[in-house]
Amino acid sequence: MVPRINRCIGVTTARTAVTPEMVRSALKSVVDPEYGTLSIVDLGIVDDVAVNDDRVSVTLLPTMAGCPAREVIESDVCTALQTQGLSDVEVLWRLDGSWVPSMLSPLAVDQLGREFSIAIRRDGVLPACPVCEQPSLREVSPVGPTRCRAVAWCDACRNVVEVVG
Amino acid sequence: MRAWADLDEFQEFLDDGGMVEADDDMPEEYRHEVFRFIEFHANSELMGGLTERDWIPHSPGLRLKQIFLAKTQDEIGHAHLLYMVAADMGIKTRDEMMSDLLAGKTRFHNVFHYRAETWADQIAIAFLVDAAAFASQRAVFAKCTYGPYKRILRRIVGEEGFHMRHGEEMLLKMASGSQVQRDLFQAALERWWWPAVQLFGPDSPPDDPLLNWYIKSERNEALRHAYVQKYVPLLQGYGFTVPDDGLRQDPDTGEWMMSEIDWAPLKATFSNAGPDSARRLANAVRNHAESAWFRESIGVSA
Repeated sequence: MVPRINRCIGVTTARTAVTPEMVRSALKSVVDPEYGTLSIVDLGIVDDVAVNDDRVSVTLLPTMAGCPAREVIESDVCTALQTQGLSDVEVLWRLDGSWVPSMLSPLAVDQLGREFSIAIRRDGVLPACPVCEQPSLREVSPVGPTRCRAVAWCDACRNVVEVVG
Repeated sequence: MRAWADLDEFQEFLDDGGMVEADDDMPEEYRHEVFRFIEFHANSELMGGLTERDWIPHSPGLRLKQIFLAKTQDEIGHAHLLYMVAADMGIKTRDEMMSDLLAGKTRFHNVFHYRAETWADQIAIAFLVDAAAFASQRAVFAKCTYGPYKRILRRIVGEEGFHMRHGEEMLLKMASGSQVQRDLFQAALERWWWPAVQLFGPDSPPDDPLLNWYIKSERNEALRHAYVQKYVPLLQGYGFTVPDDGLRQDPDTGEWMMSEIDWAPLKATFSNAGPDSARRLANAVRNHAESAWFRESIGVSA
């Protein structure tokens, strides 16, 4: 696996020693470009944060290798860290397909269900409908508006939902 | 299942912020208006997706190809979700909606009745048209009293918002490019400005049921006005000329006022008589026929 690297270097203004915790906390302000209320930390796509002097290296896991949002997330990560005064930032992508839905935080699972009507499939079993909570989902197509989600219909409340995983 | 004694009682329910669900016994007038609205939205996503698809092989560069692939999937996927919700309303089946669209009996957005001639047209579409569609969808999402539609709009609006970032990025590239690139975009702007502005439609009628029932949250002219306020200074800031000789800024309020809009081109698209309507519909018909084998193989009709 060859990671993709994006590096943004500016003038260093950070005066205090940088810790990985500071970086992770700053990354909470970076949101998914489509679901603006979910941070990339809650989405579980932050794989690793390494700090070497003032140089910060962030490794991300795309939910799928061909994710079209990668460049935008990359540039948002650089901007967010630069705003915190961390100017020498390297963003790497792991492209080995290791992201799994169980990496979503409980907050993300809850928000995806409540706000976006998106359910999470575990162990190959269709979950309860995120709208009415009945076990009445039926998969309609393996993909919908995005390749990372299936489309399902709820026979109980008659809503169209999408399913991750 | 809830039911309402009459339209007044139903209106009261909506005025109090009520949300209608699929199994509610909603007034027939409401069911028909909402259905027509969703069908129009679904048709527009499908026709828009087919247009994006046409440009995948012509995208200059692998990354842009990836973006146009993803956008095409988004639009076709949105149509898929919308047709499911529309079909569930029990007025037309998905097959009927598809055959009505292909026979030119139903409508789709005016902007898909024009031809994208150059790559710069695709950028003008991404920058101007997607933004207009986004503003109008966001205004529907803001209230939208039909629950199943509002829930999919939440996702659609998020995804369309992401498309706009691509539009901005592509425009920035053209604006900071060579004179040839800038001229190319200026020419595209001249073709797409008026269709984008007209996408919001003529002024809303005084007693528009879509507004009364909170499917729309804003009048067409208010959305159009807000759009012009945002995009005129943006385009001028990039050094482009908005193709409106009568465009002026109110010296007191600073508001941008346009010339009077010629609605004839919009009306032509209503009857599928726009400059590119026939070719687009013919392409959609051909596409539908050519993909029949696939639908058969997975056991679905439309």
